[in-house]
Amino acid sequence: MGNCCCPSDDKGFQEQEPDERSSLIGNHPGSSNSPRLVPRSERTPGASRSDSFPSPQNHASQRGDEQSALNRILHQTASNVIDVAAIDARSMEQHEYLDKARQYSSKLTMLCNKTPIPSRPHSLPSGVGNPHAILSAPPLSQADIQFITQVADRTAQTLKEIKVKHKEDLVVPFGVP
Amino acid sequence: MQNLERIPDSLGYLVISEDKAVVSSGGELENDEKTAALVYNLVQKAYRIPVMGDKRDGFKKLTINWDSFFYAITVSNNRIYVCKRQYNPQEPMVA
Repeated sequence: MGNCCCPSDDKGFQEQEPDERSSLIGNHPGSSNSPRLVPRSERTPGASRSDSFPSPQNHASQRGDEQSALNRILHQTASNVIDVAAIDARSMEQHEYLDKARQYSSKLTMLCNKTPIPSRPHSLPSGVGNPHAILSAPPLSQADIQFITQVADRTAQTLKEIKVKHKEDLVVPFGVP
Repeated sequence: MQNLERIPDSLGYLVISEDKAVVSSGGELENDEKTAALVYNLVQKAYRIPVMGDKRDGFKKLTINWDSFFYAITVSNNRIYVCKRQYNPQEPMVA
């Protein structure tokens, strides 16, 4: 036999006026005061839930109430829902969307190419693959260190001695006729 | 980071993340955030110096030498690896 009720809260079985709070589907077998509908075990919520099926003639009024409550909930929910997907579909055509996507991605790549990676203050290059090997390499030799120190000293000395020597006239006439 | 502890003559090590945080440390450099900050700034500056001619390629290893120890610094996987090592020159001094 068909069972159009799905198992729901036991609270739904209480015989009361259906409102927004009460479980609507569970209210069908809530009419367990009718033995005809509950053939095997009367007034047993578990059994009635699984075995009974609603009879439209007997419960037409109740169904009407349920229907109106359902509709009320439906309207309330519909008024609360903003269907973003539907709005998007209406306001933007497919080709327009693609155009925009292309435009944004081209702008993005342009900006990314403009910004060089080292200029970002909090970024490091990927660097070497084997830090351990590089760090365990033997230290610089004394000779190399002395050489570097000497070259640096001499470069600094030379830089200090660089002077501008005045040789030509400050005002130079270009080939103006 | 056991690898860094096994570096010969190691006195301590530091691993610094991209956002200046000490990821791992040990030995004399354990939780040495001051040194970490100094090294971080040094590395940032050193990377602006073109070494290989190609501007995008920076240094491989940076060393800071004292008489008895030196810092070896390298960058890998967007992290800075620092190792403080004892300096035992093998060769005699060249006058």
